[in-house]
Amino acid sequence: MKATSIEKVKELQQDASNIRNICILAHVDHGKTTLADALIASNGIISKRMAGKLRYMDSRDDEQLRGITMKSSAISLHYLLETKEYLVNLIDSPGHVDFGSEVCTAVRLCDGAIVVVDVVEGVCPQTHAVLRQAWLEKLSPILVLNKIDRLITELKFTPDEAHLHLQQVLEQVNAVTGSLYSAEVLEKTGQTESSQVVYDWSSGLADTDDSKLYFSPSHGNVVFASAVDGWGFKIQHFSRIFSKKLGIREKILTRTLWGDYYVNTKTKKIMKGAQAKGKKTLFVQFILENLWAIYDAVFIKRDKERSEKITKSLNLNISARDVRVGKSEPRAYLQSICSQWLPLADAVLSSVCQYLPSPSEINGDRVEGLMCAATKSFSALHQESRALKQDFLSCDPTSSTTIVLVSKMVAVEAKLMPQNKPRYLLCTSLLVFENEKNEQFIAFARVFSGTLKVGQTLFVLGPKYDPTSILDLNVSASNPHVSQTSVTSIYLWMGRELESLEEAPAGCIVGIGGLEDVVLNSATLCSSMACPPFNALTVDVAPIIRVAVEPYLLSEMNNLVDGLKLLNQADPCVQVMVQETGEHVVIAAGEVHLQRCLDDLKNRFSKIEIKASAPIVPFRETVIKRPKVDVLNELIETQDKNIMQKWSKEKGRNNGSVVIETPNKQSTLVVRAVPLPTDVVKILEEQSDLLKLLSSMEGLLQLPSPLEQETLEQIKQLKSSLEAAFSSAGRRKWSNAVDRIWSFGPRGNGPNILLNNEDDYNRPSIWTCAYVDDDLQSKECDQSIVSGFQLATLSGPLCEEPMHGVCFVVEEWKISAPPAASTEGQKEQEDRIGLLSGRLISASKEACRRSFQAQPQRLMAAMYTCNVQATAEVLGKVYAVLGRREGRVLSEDLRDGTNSFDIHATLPVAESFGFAEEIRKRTSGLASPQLVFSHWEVVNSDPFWVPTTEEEIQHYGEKADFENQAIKYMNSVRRRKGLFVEEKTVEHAEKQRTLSKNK
Amino acid sequence: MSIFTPTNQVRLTNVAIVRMKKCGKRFEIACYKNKVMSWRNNTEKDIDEVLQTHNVFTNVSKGQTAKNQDLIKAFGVDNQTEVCRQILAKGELQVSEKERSDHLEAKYRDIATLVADMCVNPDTKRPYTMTVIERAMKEDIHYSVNPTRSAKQQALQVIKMLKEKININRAEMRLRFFIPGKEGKRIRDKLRPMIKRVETEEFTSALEMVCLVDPGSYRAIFDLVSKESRGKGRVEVMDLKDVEETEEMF
Repeated sequence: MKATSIEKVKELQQDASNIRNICILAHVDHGKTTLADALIASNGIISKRMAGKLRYMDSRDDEQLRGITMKSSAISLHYLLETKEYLVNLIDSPGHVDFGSEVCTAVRLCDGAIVVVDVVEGVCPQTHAVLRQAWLEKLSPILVLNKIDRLITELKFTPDEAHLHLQQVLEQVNAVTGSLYSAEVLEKTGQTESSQVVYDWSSGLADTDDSKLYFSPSHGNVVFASAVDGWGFKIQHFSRIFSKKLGIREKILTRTLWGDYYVNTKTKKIMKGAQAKGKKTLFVQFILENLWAIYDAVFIKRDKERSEKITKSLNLNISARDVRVGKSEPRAYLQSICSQWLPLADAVLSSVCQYLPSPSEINGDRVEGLMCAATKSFSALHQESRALKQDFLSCDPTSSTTIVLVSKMVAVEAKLMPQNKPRYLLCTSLLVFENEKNEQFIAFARVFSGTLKVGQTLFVLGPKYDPTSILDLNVSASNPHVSQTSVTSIYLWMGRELESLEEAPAGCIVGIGGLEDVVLNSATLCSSMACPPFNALTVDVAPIIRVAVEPYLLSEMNNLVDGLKLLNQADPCVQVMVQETGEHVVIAAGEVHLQRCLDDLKNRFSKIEIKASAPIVPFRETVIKRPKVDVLNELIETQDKNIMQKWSKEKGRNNGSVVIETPNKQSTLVVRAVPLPTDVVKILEEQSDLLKLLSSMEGLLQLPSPLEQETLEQIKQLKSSLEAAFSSAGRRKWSNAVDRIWSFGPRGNGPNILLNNEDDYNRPSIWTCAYVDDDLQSKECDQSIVSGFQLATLSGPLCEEPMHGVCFVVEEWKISAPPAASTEGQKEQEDRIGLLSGRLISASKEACRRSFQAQPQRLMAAMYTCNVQATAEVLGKVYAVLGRREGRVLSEDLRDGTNSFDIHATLPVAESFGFAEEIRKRTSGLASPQLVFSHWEVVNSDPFWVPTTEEEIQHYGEKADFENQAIKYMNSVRRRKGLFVEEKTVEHAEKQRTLSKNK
Repeated sequence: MSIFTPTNQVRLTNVAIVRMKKCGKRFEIACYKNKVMSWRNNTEKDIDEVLQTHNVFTNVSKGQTAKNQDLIKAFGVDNQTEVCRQILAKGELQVSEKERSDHLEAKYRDIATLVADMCVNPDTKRPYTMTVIERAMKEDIHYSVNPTRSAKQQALQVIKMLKEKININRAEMRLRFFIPGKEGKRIRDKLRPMIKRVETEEFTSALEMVCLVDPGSYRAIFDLVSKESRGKGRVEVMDLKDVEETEEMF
């Protein structure tokens, strides 16, 4: 067949009823791309012989290499059904779970879906997912039962067994659809019940008709196929043939060809109950046995004569070449027979054209679903916006309102663009373009109403745009989510290639150029401002796998940042961010997705050598109350008094305070570290902005504070809430604590407090926001104490990480009188102050650190909350993975109407690298976790703990070589920073290699 | 043709010798390799894991033990183990390969951490990560670590070298000045050359100024202010380094 000319496509585009927008959905490796190949071959774009091997839609190198599809890509096909011509816009989507977002973008633009299921593997996790997605987007599906050849050649089923198996698979698929349906009905009735007073006992399921939902061969929405061998059929095909042969009406045959029917040869009647009577069903007798015969003759026995007989009886015209190679390459021979006998493309495309809706038949529900998010009701939209619904429904190319939905941006290499394509050269790859702009972004879009023309100016509405605000206030384009742009070019997607178009009428799926500066990922283009942006894509997979990327050479940092920006635009599912540490973090949906992102970054977007590594995990340091029990859960006091005494001796004072003097003994500081109550820490964390303001205000000279009344109010509120938190933690211990706060740290706004407990030093409170200058001397050095405290809290003694929730109480602070200062004059005095303040900073820092060390120190780990959805059968494996990674399960609930569980757990960030991948592998993809940072948690074990008592030594051995989580974390951070790690260079002296080198 | 006969030759393998000269005599002890440093920084606590034998020698390789009299004369005790401890603590030794490389690597990282901590990318005001700095030290400036100089000193030197190759700067310090009276204007003019950028400036009864300076000139600024204002002016550190701290999504 000749390839369809672009003119033909243009002509067909004009009438929306000729168009079918469909996508192919399935689990990974169920044969989507192979099916697409067969359809493409029917248009003559690729050779029929190569169909199934070429994987035309997989245009990327790594897609071909790995054999999986990684992006959704479109192609326009021409199909002639009876006398009517159709334009089928086919979108091939990836099946791997990592690329769920690509499936979303494909589903968004389509009206119908081809769901492919591998009959050997049956319904797989992704099949569930895509069925659900098609359901949510309200697409009409048809089912393709693929790889039937494997039943014959691999599993060696008899036709009877195969029939039974096919029935089971079909039931599985219908069960999934049924559960989606019942879940939705239950949800709906649940909503209405809550509002109604009268309680309706019927579940609502009985009232609603569901027969249309299911797949059934007799309805014509099931295709039996083997894409790799290029054949496929609907039972309608056979019922037509056999109705002539048997003289039974076609309609009856269609109804009975699938199911428990057999033909009584004597009476020439079709009877029910084939299984019970041990008879062959019609399906087996008329269809499967014929197929089996062909496979047996051509492929298994390689019987040349029989094969030729079959081809003759089927009236097929097989090329001599195929017959000749029949012996050595039976598959090719088989393919040429089958694809002529039962052409796959015909079977699939005819049901597509018959059963799937055209763009003009778009139903109201779907339009409402597109226009408003599930949480908002359609009627809440503005009047003018609601009026647009009519434009959607009519799908009229002549309509004055143009509405276009952009579902993703695709980066296309410049040399593939039609205007750059050398027209009369065959070896495109040999051409080298100079001064090219390497990547161009083309929007993957569908026109819903009106006609999109080159040069047309449209509003670009971002995903966050709200039409009500604009319409009511009548403000024009000052909104950040709206911009105006003109369309520079329109393209037709042809798989790997693009064709230029001048215009695109409603119903088409096209590529739009010139939007890369205004559209990030998705957007709505509209000629009217009233259009609401299409609601956010329902993405099942949120990105969870994080890696830090950095350029191999530091000088190429800018290339990396530019590349990351492009990557972010090209892939809707990837997240890119810069962290506080300066790391550039890429967050992808899975390992395969990540690999693709990194490849793209390396080879296309930044074109530099990059390095990816586990991101730096932050920790915090804190002190806790002295524990009452030891590791073995025995009371400490009862065991060993000596240790307690040793403790108090070291400290110098009983309560754990530390005395520090400046080198010249001029000033003395006594500091004690105390853990802060958790409520207080929480407040401090939440209000860090306010604290920052507070500490920057401190020491300002203006007396009437320049703050707004509102912020002053907030400060007062903060103060009172702190007071409440302190008093609930212990009235006596923390009495008056809030007024005595000296500073917050680190950086003036952290969750640590410096407390002034020195009776003689009546320091103005931090809360006054204005200062009364009474004692300059004290004030000068006051700042030094604060600086020292800030430095100490910024990097603690455990591994130089910031402290968290520690209160440093200054018990005493004395500055002795200058030793004979008065005679030497003013200048001496100034120098002295300068020196003292420097020394005091280091003294105060030292005091804080030492007092911290005098308390039981603990490391705090950042924790993720982790939500896992898992089915009952893999629950145990999820728990195992969580347990191995120090996770803790908080709750576990069965989700209503399904058999999946929601597990709620916490997991240390340090253990999360590779967690998502592990859990997916372990559960074969049946559980998918989501991780969100939640809080800091104290790691229970003491990083300095060594077994001391006899029982402990007995229990843990002398070296305590069991896994101590805290010391593991601490040492890893220390090693990274090049700090001292208490670790022997060689563990066992005698076990070293003893030979000298020169022997 | 010479035939190697192991019987007449005792090779010292896995031995590290620690020497000490005292009272004109040389004392040596035989230790295991890679263990003496661990002993000195107190990670190894078992002396038997450090010493091959508790004998004190005058020459380990010849197997000559030290005389008791000499020990008493030099150390005041004749307890061999006690003398060994003293020699271990103070004697000189050849640092073995592994110990040296460990030490150098730790120092290298320490320097990289310090540099990463002190510097920012001036375009974005964001810090570079330590791993990037580490690689830049190797690839861009081919820095070799000096084991004797302090990490801080070397870090400052590295920054200077890196500046020539790549876009990097010390993170600036945010300072606030209070200078009362008419001194303000004069001092401000003197401060000018040291200040990178003035953020706010108010001049009512006193000069109040917030500005960014290079951390290296802090000391000079501080001295200048306290000297010129005769102790009346104040310098406060508001931020040790001015860096972008928020996370940013692209």
